[in-house]
Amino acid sequence: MTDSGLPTGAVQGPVTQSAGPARAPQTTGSGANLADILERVLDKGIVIAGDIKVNLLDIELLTIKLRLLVASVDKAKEMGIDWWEHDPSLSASGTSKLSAENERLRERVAELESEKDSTGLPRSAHEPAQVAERSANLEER
Amino acid sequence: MTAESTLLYCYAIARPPDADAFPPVELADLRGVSGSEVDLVRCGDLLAVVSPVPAEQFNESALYQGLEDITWLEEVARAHNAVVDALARLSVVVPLRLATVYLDDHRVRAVVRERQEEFSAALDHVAGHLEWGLKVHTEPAPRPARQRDSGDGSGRSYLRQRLAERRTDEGVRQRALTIATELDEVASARARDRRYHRPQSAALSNSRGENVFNASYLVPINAADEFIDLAHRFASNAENAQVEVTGPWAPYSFALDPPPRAGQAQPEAVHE
Repeated sequence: MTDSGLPTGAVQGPVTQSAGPARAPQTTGSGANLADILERVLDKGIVIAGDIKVNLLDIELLTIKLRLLVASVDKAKEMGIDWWEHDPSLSASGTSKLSAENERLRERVAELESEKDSTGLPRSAHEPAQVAERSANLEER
Repeated sequence: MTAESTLLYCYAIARPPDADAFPPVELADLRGVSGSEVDLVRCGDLLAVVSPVPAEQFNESALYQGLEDITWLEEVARAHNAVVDALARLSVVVPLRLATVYLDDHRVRAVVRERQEEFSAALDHVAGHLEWGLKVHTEPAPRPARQRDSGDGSGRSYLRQRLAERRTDEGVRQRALTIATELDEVASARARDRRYHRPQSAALSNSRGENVFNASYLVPINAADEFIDLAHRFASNAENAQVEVTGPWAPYSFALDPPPRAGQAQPEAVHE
């Protein structure tokens, strides 16, 4: 630790130095506060795919926890705890997850509608008959 | 521990000047996220910094549960940072994101080899520098005690008082932002690079005032003292604001180059 070229007094891990008018240096024991660490280890640093996948779902759970900590989502956003919305990788996967779900829902709706059509109940039961009646009336005139 | 029961947790990619002399004695006592010794996976001139972790604690379902648990998260986050921090004092490093876990050293080596160019470029960018954080908080002016007798005790009198308080708060915030803008300017002039972060929650950062500015600077190691002095000098002249310096950090905020988020040219707080 002697040849690292670091400033003296800076070898105890990241410390917080309050430089405000009070000028009371605050060294927070084992290092920096949790917010400073979390914003770096969770939101910064190189992202490479591990063999164990920490996927979007995990991050959502984490953010739910953090949201609880800061009382509400709006409060969290107001306070700047919203990295999950700005992480390109997260929002990209979030989008694809949503579109996948949309796709599934669309298919299901189409299925349901075709079932209705084949049983002939809600949509096709009356209308065609009415149309036929009307055209019959027209022909009579 | 058998091979089946352990995984490799990966902290950072390091490129020490003399890879063969690495790790130095300083790292002998270093322990990773699960208390195991920190090890190195060599890949050319790059070293992946790893430690074995029990599979039952770091497989997908365990991570799934762990990330739900703020206590677990804090422990792992602090341990992760401790390893990265120790490394950053001995070698140029780029930190990896929390919970990057591989099956074995062959997989680690394969990934490092695959992304060697990217890692080398990131290491070049941060070499000889460490990260320092600067935050500016408002220092709320003491509110005059509400004078119950001065008004007529009506709702209107109460609302007038509340409005005056809100104006005071906004003024305090604006002054803090002005200070932040000036501080950013002088700090940036002494840094190789800079990243803006979202302002922090008062609840999470144990701060009294509102955090209106939060940024990281990539500062040459041999200019760190000057950088800190500058921030302190600046802070002592600033009224109604608290300037907080954190660091030195491993260059977390500069591990990705170019910056991942375009369009963040100004302190966000200024626009909000």
